[in-house]
Amino acid sequence: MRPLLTALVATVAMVSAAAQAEPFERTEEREPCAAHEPMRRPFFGDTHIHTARSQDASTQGTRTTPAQAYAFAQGAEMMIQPWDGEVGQRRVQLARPLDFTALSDHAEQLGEVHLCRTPGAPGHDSWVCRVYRGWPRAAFFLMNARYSYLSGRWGYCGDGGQDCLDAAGTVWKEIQDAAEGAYDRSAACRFTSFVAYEWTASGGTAGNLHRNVIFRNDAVPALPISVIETGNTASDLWQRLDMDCVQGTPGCDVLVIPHNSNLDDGLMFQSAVNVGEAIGPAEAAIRARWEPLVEIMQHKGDSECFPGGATTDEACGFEKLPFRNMSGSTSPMLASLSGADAPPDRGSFVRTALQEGLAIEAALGVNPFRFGIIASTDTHLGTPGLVSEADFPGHGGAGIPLAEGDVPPLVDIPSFGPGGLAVVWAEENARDALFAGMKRRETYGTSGTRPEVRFFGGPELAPGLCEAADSIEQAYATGVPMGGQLDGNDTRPRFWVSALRDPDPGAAPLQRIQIIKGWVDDAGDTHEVVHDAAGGDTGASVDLATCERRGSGHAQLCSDWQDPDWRAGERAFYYARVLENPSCRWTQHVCAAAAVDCTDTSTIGAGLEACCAEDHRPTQRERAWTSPIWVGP
Amino acid sequence: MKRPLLRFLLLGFLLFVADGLGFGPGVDAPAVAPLVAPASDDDVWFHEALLRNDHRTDAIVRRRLARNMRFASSDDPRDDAELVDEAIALGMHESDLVVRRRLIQKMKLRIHEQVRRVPPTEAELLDYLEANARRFTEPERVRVTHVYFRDAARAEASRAALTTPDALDGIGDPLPIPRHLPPHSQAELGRQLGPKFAAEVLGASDGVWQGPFESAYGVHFVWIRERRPAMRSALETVRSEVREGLLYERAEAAVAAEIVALRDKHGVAREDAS
Repeated sequence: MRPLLTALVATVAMVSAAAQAEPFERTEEREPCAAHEPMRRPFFGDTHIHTARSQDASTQGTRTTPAQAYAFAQGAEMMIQPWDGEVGQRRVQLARPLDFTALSDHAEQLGEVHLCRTPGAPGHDSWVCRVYRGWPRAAFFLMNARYSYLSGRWGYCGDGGQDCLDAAGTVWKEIQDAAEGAYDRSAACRFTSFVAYEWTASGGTAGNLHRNVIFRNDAVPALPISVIETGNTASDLWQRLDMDCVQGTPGCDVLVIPHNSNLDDGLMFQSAVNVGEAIGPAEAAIRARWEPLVEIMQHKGDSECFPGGATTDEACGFEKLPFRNMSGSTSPMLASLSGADAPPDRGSFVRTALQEGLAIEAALGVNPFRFGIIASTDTHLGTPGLVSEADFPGHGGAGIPLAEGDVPPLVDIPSFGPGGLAVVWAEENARDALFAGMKRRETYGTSGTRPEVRFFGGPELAPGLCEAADSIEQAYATGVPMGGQLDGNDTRPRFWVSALRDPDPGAAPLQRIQIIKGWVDDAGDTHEVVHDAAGGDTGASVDLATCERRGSGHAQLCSDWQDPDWRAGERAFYYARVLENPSCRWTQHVCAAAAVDCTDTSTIGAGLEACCAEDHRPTQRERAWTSPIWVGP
Repeated sequence: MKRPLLRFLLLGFLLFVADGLGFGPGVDAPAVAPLVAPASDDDVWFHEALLRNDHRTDAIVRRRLARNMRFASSDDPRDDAELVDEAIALGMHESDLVVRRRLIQKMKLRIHEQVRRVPPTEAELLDYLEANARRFTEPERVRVTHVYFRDAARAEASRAALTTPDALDGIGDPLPIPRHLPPHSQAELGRQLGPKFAAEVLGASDGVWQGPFESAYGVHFVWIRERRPAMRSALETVRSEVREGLLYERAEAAVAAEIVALRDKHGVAREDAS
């Protein structure tokens, strides 16, 4: 797998020849990629996946190992629960493999679960492990409650928790080995894996403060840093990453991606140092350093914007969950006790955070929320990139567990969905190039389809790029790509945005490109507006009985756009949102296949009642969100 | 901070108790009626499952039957075990299509599981790899230069202007995809420009302008600059896929053999046999 000599010679030669030209540092021993595109290509991936090594995945019957998850991401067929002995009753496979994947098993309880599953291991016969093996759903609540609300580890972890820490090291090694096994270090550069994990903090009763931690290469700390070590304060995570990775492990680099702010109880974008207090300049700077990206959408809903209230954005009501914290999906009783059934908080959404970031920057000189955008699945089946609406098997996790038993017609909580994909613009499909793309925020997220979206801006950006043969070369030469910063705001910037439809014949064509602007005024108040930049209403629709799409759309859209309301000296961000024509949501695929007719109650079979519920959403517009381009002094 | 814990513990305990509730065997039901020839394979599987009492022991079937009974009478105070007994006494296990499908599936899954208990040897894996060489082969790749046009008429109007793949100034319509693509397999090319386009390009001749070929965005003239032939994968790189494929094929063969044996056992011909 690793022709060391060839790689070393090739890498040294390449680094020497191209040190000045490369926009990213090469930190690895590997063969150079045969396919290297200076103008960058979009690589589609998933940075949020749980395998059987995560406590919540294993207690819902997921058996996917890290190695199997990586094989799945590359196109292998796989069995999933419910299980009949050793045989999974369902088989899944990606129609289009991914380019890259980061498995992000929960750091918490890696060792605890391993001990409970390993006969003869310390603690294997403890009462907690007996509960884990005999009544996994009870163990799910019990074990999570323990680490969420009490400090320290279970008694069966031994003195100082050492047995569990040792076991966590074993699993962490397995995760690294799986990543190494899947990573294509040959010149073909078919697939890139990242060593990663999820830090699973919560605030208040069940406010989600989770973050995925992605390492640049195979230089990683000896153990993942979990909430059990840090507590629920993100600043402690950043501090430990600095200590254990950047300072403590030669060659180590890392970034952190918060997710599901839609379930944060209003806490994700508050101070991570002193809850309830304003973010200070030191925290703003450190936050911007560690968290260059945010996951805007996934299995458990969309976090882009707050529907209602100040926004007039008619496309904002997309994949919104009807609850505001992680308890909302467990049971009505828990939802009520935790306040999950209260309305969500405007401050929980990414667009609001982007606006608040401008206001903080105006006051402190540093923007703590300069987030690039990605999306992912958060699958708890170990199935990266499984985003098809037409045959969604559920993702489990906080959704419906299917360890054994029959498969209900609606395989997950109806407001949950397959989730999305992360897209990184990079020169080649290798860790250094992709990681650099993530760090500079040249990324976008999709709700699962694969449109190709370019977004550039700058006061010097050449006009007429939509008709230029060398548009990309000109755009890089005269502007900044998505994720970039335009320093100086005395000249009206120009934006070039281009979208190509998902080339899969089964995907919907494009409807429109929108540019969303957020800004802060002189009084420190924040504002937002949505502009249509290309396309518009296509009149397309969906036949709900068959899920067949009707009407036409656009194969490509392009716009050379300037803000009509731009003001000199303004501090603002602009990002593009690409909407596709309407298509069936996964729930409607199920309802249509079962021939449910809500006007005829005899057609509403057992388990299909949600097809005719008031909150049933039969269609959606799949979409992509680019990272913003910021404009400021 | 302790109250949420207590709530979780309470819920955990309730789930603990609920999960621990088992289902005892039911009361006797009428004997399974003999299989009538001719019969479909599914009829034979279903009949055999009934003979094995799977409809009484399979947890999925039991849940389905209990749910059906509760759907019909939501305020029935009896527990699930009693409801299942009554459902079977009423013959619901034979009339419910989901139960029938499950019982047929269970028969096949049982065979799959038996097969998976015997891990394949290294030699068997190598044999399978050899026998399925086409599946376990790194695909052919082509390095392509393409020129895009919005429609076929515009493409035809420019055909005469095409000379070499490095002299393309002023030819073609704008498309934000590089004209010189890196080596791509058919699948990779399909993911970028559409599957139909990819299939046509892979079938085209090298070193000459071909097309126009239709993509997801319009039409393209294509010049294949380099073609890299397909290469067989080593076992180490595809071990997991080979193992899964072999076990699946073995299990399917065992299922096919079993249905023949069951037909012999019950003396029934196939439905379509005359």
